[in-house]
Amino acid sequence: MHVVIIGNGIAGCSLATALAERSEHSITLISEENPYPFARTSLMYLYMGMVRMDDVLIHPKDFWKTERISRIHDRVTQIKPSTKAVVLQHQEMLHYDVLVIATGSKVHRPFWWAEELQGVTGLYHLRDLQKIEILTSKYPQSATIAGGGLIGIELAEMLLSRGISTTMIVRESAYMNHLFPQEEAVIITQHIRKHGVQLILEDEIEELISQENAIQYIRLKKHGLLPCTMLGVTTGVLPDHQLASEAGILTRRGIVVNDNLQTSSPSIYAIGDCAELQHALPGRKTTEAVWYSARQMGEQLAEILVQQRESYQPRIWYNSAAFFSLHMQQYGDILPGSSKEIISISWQQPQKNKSIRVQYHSESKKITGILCLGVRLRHTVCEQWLSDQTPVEDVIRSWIRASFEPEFSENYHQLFQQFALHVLEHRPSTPQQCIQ
Amino acid sequence: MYPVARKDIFGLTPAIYSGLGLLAWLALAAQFWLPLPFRLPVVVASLSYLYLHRKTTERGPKGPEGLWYQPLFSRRWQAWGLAVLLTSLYSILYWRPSWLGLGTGGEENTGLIRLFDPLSHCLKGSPASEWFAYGFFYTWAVILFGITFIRKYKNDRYQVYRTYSIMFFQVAFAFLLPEILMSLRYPYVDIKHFWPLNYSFFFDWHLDGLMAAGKLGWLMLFWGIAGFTIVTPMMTWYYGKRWYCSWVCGCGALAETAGDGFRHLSDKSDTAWRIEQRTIYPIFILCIMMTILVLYTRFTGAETLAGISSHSLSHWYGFVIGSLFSGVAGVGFYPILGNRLWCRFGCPLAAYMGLIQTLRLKYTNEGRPADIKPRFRITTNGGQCISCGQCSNHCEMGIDVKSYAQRGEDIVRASCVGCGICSAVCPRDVLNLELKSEEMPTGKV
Ligand SMILES: Cc1cc2nc3c(=O)[nH]c(=O)nc-3n(C[C@H](O)[C@H](O)[C@H](O)COP(=O)(O)OP(=O)(O)OC[C@H]3O[C@@H](n4cnc5c(N)ncnc54)[C@H](O)[C@@H]3O)c2cc1C
Ligand code: SF4
Ligand code: SF4
Ligand code: SF4
Repeated sequence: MHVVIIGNGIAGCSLATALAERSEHSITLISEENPYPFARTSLMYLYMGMVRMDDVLIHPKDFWKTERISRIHDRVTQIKPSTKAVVLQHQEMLHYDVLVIATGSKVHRPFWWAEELQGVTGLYHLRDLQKIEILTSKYPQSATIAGGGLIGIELAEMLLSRGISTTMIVRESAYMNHLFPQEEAVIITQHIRKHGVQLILEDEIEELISQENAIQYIRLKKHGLLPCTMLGVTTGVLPDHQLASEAGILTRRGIVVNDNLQTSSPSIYAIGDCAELQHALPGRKTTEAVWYSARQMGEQLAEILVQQRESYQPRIWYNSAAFFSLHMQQYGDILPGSSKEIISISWQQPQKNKSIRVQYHSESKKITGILCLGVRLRHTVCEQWLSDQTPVEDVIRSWIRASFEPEFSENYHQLFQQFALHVLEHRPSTPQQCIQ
Repeated sequence: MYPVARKDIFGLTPAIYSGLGLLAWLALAAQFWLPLPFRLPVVVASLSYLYLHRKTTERGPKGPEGLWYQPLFSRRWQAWGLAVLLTSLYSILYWRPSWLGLGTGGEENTGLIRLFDPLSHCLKGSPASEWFAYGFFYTWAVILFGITFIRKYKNDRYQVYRTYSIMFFQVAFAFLLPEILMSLRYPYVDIKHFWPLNYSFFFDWHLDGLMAAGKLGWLMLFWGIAGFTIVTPMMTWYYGKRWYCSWVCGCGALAETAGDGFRHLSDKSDTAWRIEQRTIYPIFILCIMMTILVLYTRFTGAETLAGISSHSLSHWYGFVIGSLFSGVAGVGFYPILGNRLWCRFGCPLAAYMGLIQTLRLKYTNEGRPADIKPRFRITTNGGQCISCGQCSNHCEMGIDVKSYAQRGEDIVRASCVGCGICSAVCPRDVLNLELKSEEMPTGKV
């Protein structure tokens, strides 16, 4: 059987290697971006000169010699489900028995961003990195970033590393307080400012003003005109489903797939950022543009294809990020605001950038989510708690088991535990916060 | 302007520290008019100040900062220049010390080495030797670069503590104590320098020296033997080889401080790993054979065993392994092959400790109870690795840490010196140096 995979991101690459281990299928991995699968998450470190291209390949080049996977460095221009073939830009048409679309995401393009305008860039693809390299090769005095997400903050760190003064325009009243509770959002906001990012909060771009096709100014809704010669747009990513929709495969926000990751066309599957689950799993979104989900989809589709697994079942939701030197880990659901059903126990040491929050159900007392800043938690333990829906008391009593702190580090987990135990003893059904 | 103002290390205002900088330059220029005892302190203070000042003050808009952009740290001609300079200096030190001003045949020291005479007189009542000058430079480098290393990793206590530790052992045990012993007419002994790294421990001149030094000498002899028979195996069994390589050893001290900027240059390929295994164990075996031969000669008086002359074997070992490999190449090639060339491909003590470090793993593989995990290992936190490659890039022992992390496997490698940098640089906190013997759940999620 010939399995063709379009896209060699973490989804496509994980599928290819897992399938090669489990089956005798011949596998072809196609990508227009880079001949060897690489870690997109490392784009910033590449730009900052901390690693080289060879360091961020998911497997060393030699690895691909021994595996039964052929790689094609080319662009797929068309899928022909009727004849089971994909059309390539430079090479001959390729036939498949099973096709997997893993084309990832593309940069979200707000209405004010005209494609041909110079000085404006996103950050997703290697091409974008080359563009940023050219834009910053003359060390402009300053740059602006529109949109304060996880990629925006990485772009800010990249620009600052080259001494470019960076302004970030964020719609929310504190960095990411639509995803994180206010206390955490404030700690992150302060930390970002401390690292030299100038934050403009509660504002958005209205239009870009250009001269000779190069950006000159941006107009903000509240702050008015701002001079700008380089603009990074990080207002999010969208599933890249163009190939699929052109081929008549059902798409909505992304390429719609059933529980087996199968699209509306039976021998075509979709995984990674570009896939949209027909049925969202409890507490999860139908599209998840994160590394971990993409990897799990790849690995699990390999098992589905060799009939070792019934359906795609992601593990407990997990995400992590770095805001300069401040690291964040999230397990399960975290409710940013307050509600009657979900109660928070939250503990902070803002001057040390430490924060731990546990959320649980007000009636059943079952744990629903954990969010921490500046401390390390043990994944396996947190996952066990969440998937067993452990009562919050038990979680707090065995909290130290979840510590993944390096040796000699200050024991913040103990401080949190003491506080949380105290709370649970006295007022277990109201939100509680401790700021030390 | 670079938006993040880096504070001057001494917390001085810009005017004062540039004033002090000027003073430092003037003091350096005024060397020849200073009385001899003042010269070394003035040189050391001025250069230290200028270095720390440069490392910690604000710079304007500039090129990329990353290691692979900096010529000295990315094998460009500047790096080759430094390598040539370092290897030449080492060669002169070993084989032409008179070029540095060492007085031979009762003559007075001149030149560079003369600068050290006052300090040497102070410590042990005799003029400086080339090794005294070298020891001083070495210790100075460990302290100076150690300070910048601590600042770089100030949020990671493991890094801070172990750097204080290597600085302490270098100053107290490697530099001061032996000199003080000599001033008291005892033999020169660095008591933390264990066989087989200290390959000359069982040489005639060394044993004779110890035995002639009365009770203290015998004590040192027993300590030296206990060092490799009891202390090293025990400590390594419980804490991994890092207790020595990253906390105590002098070679490790220089590698971790002065060599820190070169750590990413170590080769990560499988070929390098294969070469490593084919050099480090043979050198260990060679060292054992040489020692047996030397002791055989000592006790039987026979010069040769199975046709091998003990004298020429120890002579060649000292020249090729002791001087050329561990000294000239070991440090001289920092800018080309990374800061742990000797530790990775040569050090016999590393081979010995590496075997102990991985012994427990072998137990588990051979059907012993699976819960006996090696005590020291690097664990990975679930499936959190984003394959960014920082850990592998920073591993000075050339271990491809990422390849383990992205599979969620523990890292138990004989060569790992437990420097902990892979864990310190991981942007997702995936790696942890752990000792727990109970089974803590880790692995891929
Ligand atoms: C800067 C940055 C930092 C990030 N950091 C994190 C993080 O810390 N944690 C996290 O969880 N997630 C992070 N992400 C998100 C994460 O990288 C993505 O979720 C993940 O890479 C998605 O993998 P994928 O395999 O689905 O798609 P991609 O990695 O996007 O791979 C798709 C590949 O398909 C190729 N392709 C598309 N169309 C065609 C075609 N027609 N023909 C041939 N090839 C084609 C593309 O060129 C691309 O190479 C980050 C993303 C970025 C951009
Ligand atoms: S490997 Fe050998 S030389 Fe290097 S630090 Fe360890 S004991 Fe010292
Ligand atoms: S694996 Fe980590 S701790 Fe071990 S030597 Fe490499 S960087 Fe240091
Ligand atoms: S540094 Fe961390 S995230 Fe990056 S490859 Fe290594 S273990 Fe993975």
